[in-house]
Amino acid sequence: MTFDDRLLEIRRSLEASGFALAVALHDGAHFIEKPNPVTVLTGFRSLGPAAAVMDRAGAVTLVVTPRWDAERAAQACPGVRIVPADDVVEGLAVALGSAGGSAAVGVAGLSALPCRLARRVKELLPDAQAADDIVFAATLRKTDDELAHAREATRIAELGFRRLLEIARPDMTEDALAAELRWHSRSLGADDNFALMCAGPHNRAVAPSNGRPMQAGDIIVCELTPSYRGQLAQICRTMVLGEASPLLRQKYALVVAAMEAGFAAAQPGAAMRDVCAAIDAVLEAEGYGEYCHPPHIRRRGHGLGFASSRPGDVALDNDTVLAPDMLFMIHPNQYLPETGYLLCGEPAVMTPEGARPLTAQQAALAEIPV
Amino acid sequence: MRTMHPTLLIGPADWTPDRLPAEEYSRRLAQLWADHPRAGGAIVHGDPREHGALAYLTHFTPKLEPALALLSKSGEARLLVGGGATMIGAARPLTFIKDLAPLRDPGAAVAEWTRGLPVGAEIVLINGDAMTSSTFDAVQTALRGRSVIDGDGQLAARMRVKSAHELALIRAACAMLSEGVAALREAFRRGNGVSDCILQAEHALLEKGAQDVRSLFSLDGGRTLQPFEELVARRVDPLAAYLAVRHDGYWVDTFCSLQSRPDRLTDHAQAVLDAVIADVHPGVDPATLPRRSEALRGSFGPHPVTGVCTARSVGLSLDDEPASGRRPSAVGEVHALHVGLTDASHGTFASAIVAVTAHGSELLWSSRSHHA
Repeated sequence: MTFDDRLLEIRRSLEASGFALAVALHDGAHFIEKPNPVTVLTGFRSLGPAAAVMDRAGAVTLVVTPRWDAERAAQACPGVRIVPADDVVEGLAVALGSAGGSAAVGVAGLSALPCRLARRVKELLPDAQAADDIVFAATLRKTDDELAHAREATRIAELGFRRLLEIARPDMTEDALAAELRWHSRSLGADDNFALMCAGPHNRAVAPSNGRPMQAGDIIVCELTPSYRGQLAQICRTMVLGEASPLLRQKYALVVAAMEAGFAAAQPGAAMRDVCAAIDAVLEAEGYGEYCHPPHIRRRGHGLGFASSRPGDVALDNDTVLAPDMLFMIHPNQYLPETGYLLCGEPAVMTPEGARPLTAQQAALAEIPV
Repeated sequence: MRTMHPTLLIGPADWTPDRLPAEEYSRRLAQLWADHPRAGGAIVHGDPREHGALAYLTHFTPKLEPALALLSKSGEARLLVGGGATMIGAARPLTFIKDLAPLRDPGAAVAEWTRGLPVGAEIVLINGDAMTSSTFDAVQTALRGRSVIDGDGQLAARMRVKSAHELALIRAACAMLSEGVAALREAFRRGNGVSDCILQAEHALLEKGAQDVRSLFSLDGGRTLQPFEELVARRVDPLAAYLAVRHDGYWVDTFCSLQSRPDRLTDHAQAVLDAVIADVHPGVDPATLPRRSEALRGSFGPHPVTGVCTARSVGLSLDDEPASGRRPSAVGEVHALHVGLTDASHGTFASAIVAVTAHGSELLWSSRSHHA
């Protein structure tokens, strides 16, 4: 699937919906969990709040703030009409022109906006209705470019993990390690990195790093999630500062087995919930059923943005039927009372033969000599 | 100044009482209640992008998800942290507030909190406009029957005037910035490519313990600026770049215009900036500083990124709008001043950070001493 193929699908959905226009909105805060419908329609990641408008003929207009970023937008989005603006809602009014007041408008991304922006969009388009599905339904499968970028992001993540093993040491703070890892991924071409990591003798979860100096015996858990050209890919890894105990090795092997069960269940035609159930089953069989639910765990993986996080979470309430070219994380990421939280996960791309990891090397418990 | 916002805030953000003691926060809270004498409490929203007010009152930087501070005038403060109960441990070092809880249902949490406040007491809402609509509506519903005051304007005025502790942090941030620019200049002098120059500068700042670093750069002689999107190996001369560094919450930033040959445009930009700096003194309206620079630009054009000159209050947010409206500068305010000029083929910049003092101003940072 190409970017243009996807736009054509969105255009067809727009035609079928009865809306004359689809308006996509994003505030420019590029959070891993916040899909970006503007990027879906244009391929562009903005510095400030942005909007994109698609009409039934497939013509796309991009409202870009700040105004001075318009030239970058024009280069990134050939064929798209660019409206430079210092205020995204004023720019949207310009983009809509006379059509805005009378046309049936579907809006994507409104609920994620800061309310001061959402309020003004509603004033501008009082009859607009939520239409996130029109934009995002076509993003279940990644484009060829997105998959290529995910592969590169994965390569960078694996090099980042190697770097982590080289530099992590007692007395280094979590913050310093996380900052170095993000910088390292940037030096390899990543435009961002959701480098969520922490350390401790018994982690309750993976959390943002803080100023705690790491100590010998700590278990480091990390999600390295570089973005390459706007496409995220993630690896979830666990390592020990020092020698791992036999118990930790045994429990990590269990989590790896759970992940392998998830991969085996991820077949075309299966539902996403089946992947979650397969992972849960391995852990439940070992007596960890009560840890297979919140607050210990709420999902066994997730889609990978920034543009779209479809096909969504690897969770029991996700009925999405798996198909080739879908991209998502499979990560058991389990809290176990004996060891604490353990991270283990790979980015998976669906093929006609089932899910395949993008990584060259599967998660294994690592030891860092101290 | 807008830069590409990162998906996760990474960097040292723990509360360090040596640098910002508890008394500093007690003073800030006392000012808040003095500004709102009929208030019984305040609700302060912060998220990874917009959390200047939250950081000012609690020191907390929400690295991952939004947070909500419930500040009682006569009771203990409570901080609700996004991400669930397992995030509390990681959040605890980032604030002096002892009572931390997961931010699950903001409406229910606010309703429970208001029950403990005096009947009839007003509630100050700060940064509420940055909440999503669903959170804002839930909070408003929970506050039904209470008088709710928008506290943004008065708090912003308080935040503009820096204490001695804040000035010390800003000076330290400026010293860091010098390290970053020196690394940028050295990489440029060696003939390195654009990305490598930027990466060297960023790394120097991170090694100095920066809380956050942002950058922009130009591939077309300073005519436009762009964020880091992919590696660019080629060298450019002149190199225009923007660097921002955060230290214990406080952002300082500069534009850099590096070139291997003397450049009349950059000299002129620096001269305009010098004239603007000379105008900084107590009582000056910062919004007038850019206007005065307009007359000095000569035949050169205003740069699209900065205009001829932009003045922004230095503080806990990088995205704040430039100064506007009419208000006199007070002693203790710190302004970031950026001059940008263009000619037919390229653009250039000059930057300074200036503190307003009782006797005029003090230059905390100048791009003049960092030109290649």
